[in-house]
Amino acid sequence: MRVHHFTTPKSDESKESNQDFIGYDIKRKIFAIADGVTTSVFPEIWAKIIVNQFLENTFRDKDLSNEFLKNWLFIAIEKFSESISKLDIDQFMRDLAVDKGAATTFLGCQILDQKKTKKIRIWAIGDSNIFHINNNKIQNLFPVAKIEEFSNMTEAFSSLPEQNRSNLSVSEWEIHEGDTIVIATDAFSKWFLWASINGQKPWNKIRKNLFRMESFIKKLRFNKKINDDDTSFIYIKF
Amino acid sequence: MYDVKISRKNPALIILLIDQSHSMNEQFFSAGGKTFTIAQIAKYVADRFLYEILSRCLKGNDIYDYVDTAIIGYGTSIKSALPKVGLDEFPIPSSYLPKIFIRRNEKNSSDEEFPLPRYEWVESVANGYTSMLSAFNKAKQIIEEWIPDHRDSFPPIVLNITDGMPTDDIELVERMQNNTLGEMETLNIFTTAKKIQEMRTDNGNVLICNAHVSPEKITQIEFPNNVDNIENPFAELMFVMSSVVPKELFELGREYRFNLSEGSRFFVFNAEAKTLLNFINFGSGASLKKVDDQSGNEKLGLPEK
Repeated sequence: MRVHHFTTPKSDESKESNQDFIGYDIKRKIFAIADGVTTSVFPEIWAKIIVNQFLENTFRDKDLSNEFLKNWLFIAIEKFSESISKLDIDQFMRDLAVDKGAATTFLGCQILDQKKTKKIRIWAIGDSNIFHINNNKIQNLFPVAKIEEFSNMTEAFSSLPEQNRSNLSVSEWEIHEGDTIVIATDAFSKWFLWASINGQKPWNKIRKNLFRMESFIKKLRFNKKINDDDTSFIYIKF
Repeated sequence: MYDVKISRKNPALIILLIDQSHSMNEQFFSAGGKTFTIAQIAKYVADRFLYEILSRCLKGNDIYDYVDTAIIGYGTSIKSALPKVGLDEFPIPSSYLPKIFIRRNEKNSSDEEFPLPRYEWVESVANGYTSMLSAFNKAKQIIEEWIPDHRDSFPPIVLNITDGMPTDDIELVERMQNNTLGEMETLNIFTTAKKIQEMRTDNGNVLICNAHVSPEKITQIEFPNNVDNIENPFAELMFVMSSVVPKELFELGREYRFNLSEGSRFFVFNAEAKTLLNFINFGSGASLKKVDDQSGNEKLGLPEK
């Protein structure tokens, strides 16, 4: 299994302003991506906490109870509050962080080695997406299946407990040798799906541009093929 | 139209006009064992509105100047509704707001229906007459001076909260004493509102949104598209003074559970407290939700399902 990842902020923005976060543990075969909601407060901090929380406390069961998820998020929320309290910021910012909260999409997955096959189990909330490529075509995609589902509205994990009403979506697929998995935040996912529908085999484009991805994305943005947004993906080749 | 992203280069302008006449002292709403006057609810709505501007403009450790705003109170005369800002200093940029609050409150329980706003900028005032015409004239002046430098911006929005008729449009007062408006087009307040609505940026005409509140338990009218069911001359006047809701904003209006159709006006009559809050959120959200952090791909966390 070979793994590559890439992340870049919007054009002309600093690295620190990137509200996407990627994390993975190759040994334990767990991967996660999060996209902070821009209109929330300190979304980049929350996105990082949620991904790291998944790496430290990976889900086991396919279906998670509300109680489990509530407790899992509680730990993340405590970490968020602690992070905010340590920032050198005005009281105003601190109050906004507490009152308005942060929000992020999330997609986490784990590769499960079984006797004869591998499986990938995926948990997701929001419009970060995962694509499974087999025999040079998209075999599975989740949770977003159509381009029109990428919109300005998304479900998300919130740092305000009372805002977390939506549950995670879950899926599971078989994986074979030679398959490719791409996990991406929405801007890249939308392009990926569009390119696939238009016969462009975006998984091959990623493979060919792995070591010059910055300029590849820049070109896509210049040609308005991709939204100028924080852009992140994980590429896994089996 | 009504779709341009808001940025520091192209900020929005939102003007809030608040009736501060004596009748705003009427008891209006009760929640959690507390009773609020109309003036107190109007103040609450204004404070929430300003805090929402701040949260939209927060970027890292800075408040970006995405929104210019003016909050004008009108009683016997017009004045700034913000004790720390002079009337002639409007509009003020969003980055100025953290410097001019008058009170900070600790966070209340989220279970409270109307929790104390975290920050307060506005004083609750209910004294004197209703110089609404003067308030609209002041709004017109602010917009006239603002638009030339902001041609590419989202059009300015004027939000007006009142519980009654203007008393400084003499012609209107006289006609109402005879219980007839006559030809509304000849009223000063009507022509002022029309002149405001004729002003525009390249993204659309200025929008006027009128919210009439009443402590009496009378049927609310929300976003009407005609005056057939309105047998109140003042309501008819406010209706024609209110802008038609652009269809580009229908989706946003539905988020606030307003029933919009072609020709719906930005107008609520006999609004209850919650309706007023949603109305102001919708009216201001028309531009606030276009805040762009230069991505061209704004994301909004969904509220509860």
